[in-house]
Amino acid sequence: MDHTQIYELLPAYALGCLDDEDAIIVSEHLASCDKCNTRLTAYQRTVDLLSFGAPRVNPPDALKKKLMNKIQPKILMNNKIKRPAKRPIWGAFWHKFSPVWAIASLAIISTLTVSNLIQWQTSEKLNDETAQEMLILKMKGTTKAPNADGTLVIGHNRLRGVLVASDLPVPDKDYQYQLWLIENGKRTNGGVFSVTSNGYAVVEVISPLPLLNFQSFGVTLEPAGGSQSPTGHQFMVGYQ
Amino acid sequence: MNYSNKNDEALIRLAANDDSEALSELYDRYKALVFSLAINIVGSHETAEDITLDVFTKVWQKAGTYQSGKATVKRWISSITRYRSIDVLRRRNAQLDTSNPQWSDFSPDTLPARENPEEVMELALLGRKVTEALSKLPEEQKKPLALAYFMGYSHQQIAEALNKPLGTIKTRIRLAIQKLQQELKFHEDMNDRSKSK
Repeated sequence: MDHTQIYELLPAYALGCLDDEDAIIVSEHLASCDKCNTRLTAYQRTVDLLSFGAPRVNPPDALKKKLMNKIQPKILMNNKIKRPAKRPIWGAFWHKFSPVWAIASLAIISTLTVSNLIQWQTSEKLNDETAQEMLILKMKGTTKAPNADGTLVIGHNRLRGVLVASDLPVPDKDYQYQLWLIENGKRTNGGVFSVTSNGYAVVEVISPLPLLNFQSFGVTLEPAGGSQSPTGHQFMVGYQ
Repeated sequence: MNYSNKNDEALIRLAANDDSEALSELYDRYKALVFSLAINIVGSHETAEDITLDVFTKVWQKAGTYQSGKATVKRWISSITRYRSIDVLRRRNAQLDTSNPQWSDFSPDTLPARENPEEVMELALLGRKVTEALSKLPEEQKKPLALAYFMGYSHQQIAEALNKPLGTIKTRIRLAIQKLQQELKFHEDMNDRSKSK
């Protein structure tokens, strides 16, 4: 089997569906071919993403308790193992040097206390910073769509987010919804989207400006493809 | 300590040091991914629960061996789940079965409702991209791909199960993965980059 033939087997190798004979040949080839290894890695990444293609189901709530109970024995066992061992020899040694050890201990404890305080303050500061990283904004349906509901999740860099909308009316095929980012009355296009037959949509929002700069967000119904500025009725609205 | 703000790799490091709260957070993030994949492969709630327990127990036990250079935590966990589920399936049933696996059509029920915002955003986007990419595949490619991915069938087994020539199945699977690779390339990069945030 030549290089080209093996190259064509790489997608199936990444998926793990090659029959044994072919899998052995590909494995042997991979041992000495960087090009195929690089290609294989790319295919493996694709295969790994397929887990998101399974219909989504949540496990029962009680399962978490079972898991935590299951792992407890390991924690207890490890704590037991990590407990300090017997120390008769060291005990005698430290007893001999106890005054020196007492002073040294005091110095170590003081140093550790100061160091811990600094670390604690740094950690608290970091926690505060990271806690501000994500932001959720709720959007509500207007009188045109009283049951509609939206969640705008604003990401780390503030320039990217996701709008998850549900229960929007399903429009005629010539129309689509459009998200508007509103700052001092000026409306910027936040994305044009369609909804499923249940009125549901997930919309990636990429903004030229930080999303926090906008005071409010609106969703209107526009001709398919979207408009330069809002022309239709507003179906959802949200405020910072 | 606020675990919900920690990235996956930090949680794995904490879990490797027997921090059960870190495992608890990882469970909250990936329980639906693991359970969904397991149930789609084995077709039984009860077995999928057992597999979910096994997977997170393995994550707990093997956290110290996780290598970030090889895969993101998300991919590592989904890979453990897939192989564990296929293993259970093979032990349980030696006969070929083409009825169970299916790809999601992304309905409102697929949205994680109570997880943290970051996960909602990432999973919602990933789920949408993957289902969109899958929807672009012709039906004749989707079925063999599902049998290979969810059931762990080989080319030969898929050809037998679908009563198609072996060469046809090989071609369909190759074309399906190549097409998905093109469609998902951007998101793979995003997904890999997110591990270092």
